[in-house]
Amino acid sequence: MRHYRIIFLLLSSLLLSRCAYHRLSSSQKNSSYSKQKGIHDSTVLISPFIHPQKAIKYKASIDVLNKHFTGLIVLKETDPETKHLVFVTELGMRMFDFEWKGDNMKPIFVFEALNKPKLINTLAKSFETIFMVKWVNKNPEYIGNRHEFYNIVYLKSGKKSMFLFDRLDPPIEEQIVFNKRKKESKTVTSNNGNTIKLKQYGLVKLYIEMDKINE
Amino acid sequence: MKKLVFLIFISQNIIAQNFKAVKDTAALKQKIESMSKTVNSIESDFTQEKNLSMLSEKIISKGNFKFKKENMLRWEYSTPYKYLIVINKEKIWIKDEKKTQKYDMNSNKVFKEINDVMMSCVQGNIFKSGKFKVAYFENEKYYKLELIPLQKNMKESLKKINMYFDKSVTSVHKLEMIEPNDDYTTLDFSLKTQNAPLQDNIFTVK
Repeated sequence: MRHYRIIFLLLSSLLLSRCAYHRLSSSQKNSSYSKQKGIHDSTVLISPFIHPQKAIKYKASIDVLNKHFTGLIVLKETDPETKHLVFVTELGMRMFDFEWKGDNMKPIFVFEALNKPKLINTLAKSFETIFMVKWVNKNPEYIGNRHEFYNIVYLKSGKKSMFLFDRLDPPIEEQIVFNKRKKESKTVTSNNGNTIKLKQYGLVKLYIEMDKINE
Repeated sequence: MKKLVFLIFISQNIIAQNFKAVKDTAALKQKIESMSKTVNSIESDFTQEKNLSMLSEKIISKGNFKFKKENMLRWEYSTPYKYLIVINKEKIWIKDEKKTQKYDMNSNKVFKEINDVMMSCVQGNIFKSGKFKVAYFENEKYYKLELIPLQKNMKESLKKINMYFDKSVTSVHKLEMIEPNDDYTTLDFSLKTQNAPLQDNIFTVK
């Protein structure tokens, strides 16, 4: 029983700290990475992912179908149940707007040139992976090892499984998602959660790089 | 709260009423054409403000642009990101913090459209393109041209462009681009210099 409680606490800390990554780095600029990752920090546990009033902005580049897009990603909560992820080019052109409710992201607006179902699905899936939309509050089947310098956590939900490699020094987190046995994506989060890089494998190959703008 | 909404409504109407239709549109067109003809180069800082209405969020970026006749433009953002667009006749370069891409204008309709709109906005002669229904307004300080797209493709991403000129019609003072969902982007130009010599080599990216 005690064993399961430890497993649950470890898993909760990883999931919740991961979810609050960007929220924390905006609100606690001086706190150390290890503190941000801690389960004891009550802010992590009770705060919503996105600040209710303030948007989080990232410089972003998206490489897909031999095209290179750059601009800003704006994340904002519009009501307690709804968040939006909007990608705007440097010239001010809105490329897409995803609405995020519960464990689902769906497109609200997509610029005509990008509006291809496979591409949109892949984009939505990629952002769901980056922000672990499908994994929070789910009951995983198994948890892996904890080493001296890093933790490895293995999660499984339906056909999908995820490995989280959580290196403590330097603090880098790698997240690899498999669909059955096929590698689906790899996400690397570094620089105190401010830099996120995702590589999506499969039919529509995609690469997303995001750097948080600290305002 | 109701009072506040009422006051905002009234103040918006007062601002809107400040602009009235220009009586002698031919004279104004003549002034703008004359400006376009006499200005051979422009250098200016700009502040771009993107308003995402649904998120009640503003994205502010700043930079500088240089224009030289014929068809040369260097449009450079310096904050919060570095981003550069250079147009030199038939060539277009786009350089972000990671990559430089070069395109041939004739091979890409989108870039051709971007080029046409940017060049004509900078020079102020966009009303001559035939792609917009134009209405002319003025108040004490500015002339305002309201440009409503006529082409179906453009209508999908743009509801209206408002272009402001100072009363002496020496340059474009401000641009507002309003999207169908009422998101809008404004471009305010400042520290403008006209007809200063600009080297051709700044309109290329290596």
